[in-house]
Amino acid sequence: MSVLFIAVPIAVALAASAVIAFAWAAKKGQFDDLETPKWRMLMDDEKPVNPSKDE
Amino acid sequence: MDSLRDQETCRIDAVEAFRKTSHCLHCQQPLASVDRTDDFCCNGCQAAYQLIHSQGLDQYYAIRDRMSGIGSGSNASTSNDIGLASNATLAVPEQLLRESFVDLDAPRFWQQHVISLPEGRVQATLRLHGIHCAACVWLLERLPQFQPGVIYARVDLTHNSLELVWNPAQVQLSQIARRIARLGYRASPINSTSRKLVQQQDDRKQLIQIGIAAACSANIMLAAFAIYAGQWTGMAAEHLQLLRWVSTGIGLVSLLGPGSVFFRGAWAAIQTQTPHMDLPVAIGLGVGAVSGAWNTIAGEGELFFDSLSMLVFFLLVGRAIQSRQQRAACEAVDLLSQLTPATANRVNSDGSIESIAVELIEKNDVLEVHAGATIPADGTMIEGTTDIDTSLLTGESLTTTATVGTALIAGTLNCSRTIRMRSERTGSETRLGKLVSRIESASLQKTKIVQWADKISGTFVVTVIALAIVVGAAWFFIDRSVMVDRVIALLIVACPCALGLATPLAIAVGLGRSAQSGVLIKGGDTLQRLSQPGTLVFDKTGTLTEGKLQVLHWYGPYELLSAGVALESHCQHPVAEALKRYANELAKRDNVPPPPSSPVHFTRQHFGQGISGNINDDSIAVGNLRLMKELAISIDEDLQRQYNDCLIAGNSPLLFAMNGRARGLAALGDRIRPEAKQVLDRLRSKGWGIGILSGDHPEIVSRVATELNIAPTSTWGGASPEEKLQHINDLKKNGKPVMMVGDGVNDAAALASADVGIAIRGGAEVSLQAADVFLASGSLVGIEQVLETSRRTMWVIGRNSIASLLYNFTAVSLASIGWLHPLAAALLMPASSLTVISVTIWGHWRKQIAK
Repeated sequence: MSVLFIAVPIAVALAASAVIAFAWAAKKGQFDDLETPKWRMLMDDEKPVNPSKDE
Repeated sequence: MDSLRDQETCRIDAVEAFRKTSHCLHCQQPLASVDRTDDFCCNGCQAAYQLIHSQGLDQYYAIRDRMSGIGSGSNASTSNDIGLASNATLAVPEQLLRESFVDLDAPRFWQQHVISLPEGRVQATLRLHGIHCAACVWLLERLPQFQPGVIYARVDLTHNSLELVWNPAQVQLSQIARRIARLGYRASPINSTSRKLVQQQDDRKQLIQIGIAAACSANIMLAAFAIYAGQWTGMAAEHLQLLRWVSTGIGLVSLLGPGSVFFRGAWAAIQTQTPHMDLPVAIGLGVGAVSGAWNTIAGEGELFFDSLSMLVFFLLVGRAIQSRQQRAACEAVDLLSQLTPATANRVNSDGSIESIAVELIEKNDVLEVHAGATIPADGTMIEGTTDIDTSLLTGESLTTTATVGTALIAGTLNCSRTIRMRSERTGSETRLGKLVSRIESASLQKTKIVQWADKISGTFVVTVIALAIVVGAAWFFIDRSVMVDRVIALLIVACPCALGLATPLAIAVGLGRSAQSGVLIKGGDTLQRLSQPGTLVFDKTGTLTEGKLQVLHWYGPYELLSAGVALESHCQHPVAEALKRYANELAKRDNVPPPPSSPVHFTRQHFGQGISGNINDDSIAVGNLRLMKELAISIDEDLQRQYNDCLIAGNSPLLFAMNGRARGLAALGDRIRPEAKQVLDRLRSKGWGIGILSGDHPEIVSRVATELNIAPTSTWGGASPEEKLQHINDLKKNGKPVMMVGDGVNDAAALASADVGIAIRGGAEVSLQAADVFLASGSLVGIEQVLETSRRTMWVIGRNSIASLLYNFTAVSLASIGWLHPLAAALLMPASSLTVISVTIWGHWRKQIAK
């Protein structure tokens, strides 16, 4: 069971790297707006714009 | 009749036909009129629809309908986005179309909020009111397509803001804001760009701290489970020691990282000698950490890091929620202060006009206010005549006429002409300013409940640790060998997981459920306050009534009505709109030609009185009694009697005259919502007291009260916003919970101060912010739903809490006397939590299936 001496530190290191990744994402503003992006994804791409079009 | 209908469904798509017959094309509110040519509920919606349609953006409606399908079709587990439960477009308030937004071009705004970008472009973030769904995002982000000069637009739904990049050489910001206003969104400056950035940084830091605390506590929990299991099965000493060191290490990270905020708070409390909740928490954390670390080094004894890091995590989450609530309260206040403009035009003694910041206005300054601008200070009018929209303070949708000498109130809107006024009170001295400070204090008082929850959890932990020490000491003397086992068992079963889950889970289910039916509830404590019958106080205009001027009854020949409507056909006045709607309805019903719109030869508007003109050699006049007197028009006895009856009934009479003789009368009024009477009766039978509190004329209010069986003793009319607040506070002194239902800015203070404020759809943004509950459905039936939900939720909370308390109490007693093995305790702990979760959610699902 001496594998624990290797496995536990690895587990802790993995957890730490997840925390670091989370902190990095939060600092970048990934969690600032949790509402808009999920809706934006559902919208179709923009069609080419024709500003002269007017009825 | 049936065959006619069949033909029509052939021509138009069935869904489209349904919408056309009964709902506004833009906001989809049911139309009062049955006339099919009338597709909109108001001018605002019509303007918005025209703009969207002319730009080829009709896809907006498709997206809206599709998204709302997604929203309502999803099952309970995914419906936690309360903010998006209602995807309906809100009606466009007509007041929006009258505003000029010149504030946004003022140098002051530019200094504070506008950032210069390369190539002459500039960037600013605006707060936007009225955005709420995916279709809004779609529409607004297409702004560059239909507003030349706008380069980039991006919506943030969480913060209700819009980031704009535009070219100031091509378009002014006020122009963009007016374009957005036509779509029904009100743009206003965010409180302060620098403050917003600071808040954003704070939010991110807070989130990171919570994340670290969560990760630490979860990982310690893993180690703790292994240690507890080892107590049962046996474990090699070196492995145990490794796990203990790991827990200690992670625990110290949690306490010194995210947990350090409590130590700093406690230190500040000691320094300033003000007892603070951080103090006992910090003592508990400190003692636990030191003894835990000591025991690790010593190689024996109990570690406390699993409970301690969990505590840090829960306390941080509680704090984050609290700070968000407080900020929401402050934003409601900021919103109100934005109702006054940032700048004003001062007329100097030499006649020159200077644009100054509102803060610099002094008493007795002469100010010029343009049409479409907001009155910057309380004062008296000294030059000009105009219409003033005072809906902000009175909730009255009709504009009032103002002439020289009329008192003007800051925040009201000058609708028609440029005027000059002399300022008397400014800033926080104005009526609006005082109202703001009252809302502020009322909102802040309410957030205290959260602090109370903070206190409970701290006390709980301190109690458990104290109990553990006592039990440990007792067993130290009885039997030293089982002491550690006893203490561990106690610490595990005392974990308040089930207790902690009981309330938030039931509340989350309750909030999610009501959000699905279009009732948005802001906080869990609202549900608690609504569960006991108390007093429900309703505003009248827009809450009990439909809030829209309508012709309730017409007396006279149809031809005269038709002529009068033709005369008014070019007016945008609410009275003219109501007449047009009614005439079209009549024409449809009686199968007569609708009023013509063109053959008017000459019209003259009489300010504040009515309109007169010629149609086909007939002279027509439509207006009030004053106009009839001024034009020397005779009114016969019969009509005079009708006129008086109309006044007694509480409606506004409008006289129609042809060739010098008054021959027709339209009674104008605001119809009571069709569901109002039934809803009030049902509420009464459930033990609620019903009251009515309105800014309208006392006579009209008492008429509505009689119609709805509301006792005269709980009917208050003619109340100013300040008096409304006072009434609510007086009622609260009776000890029973007081709920206020309202929609206007004039209700905002009362909504904030009431135990629960309920705002109704279509109301002012400020009242939505100040209220605890928002009825997106716009129907009074929603109130019943809220009450039912809260009653049920409180019952579930009670059941959950009693069950878990009972569990904790029994288990702690058993553990103390040594009848509970640590492993049994470790199994019981998640079992109790699981029971609570499954019972709560199962009850919800069963209800869903039953539907």
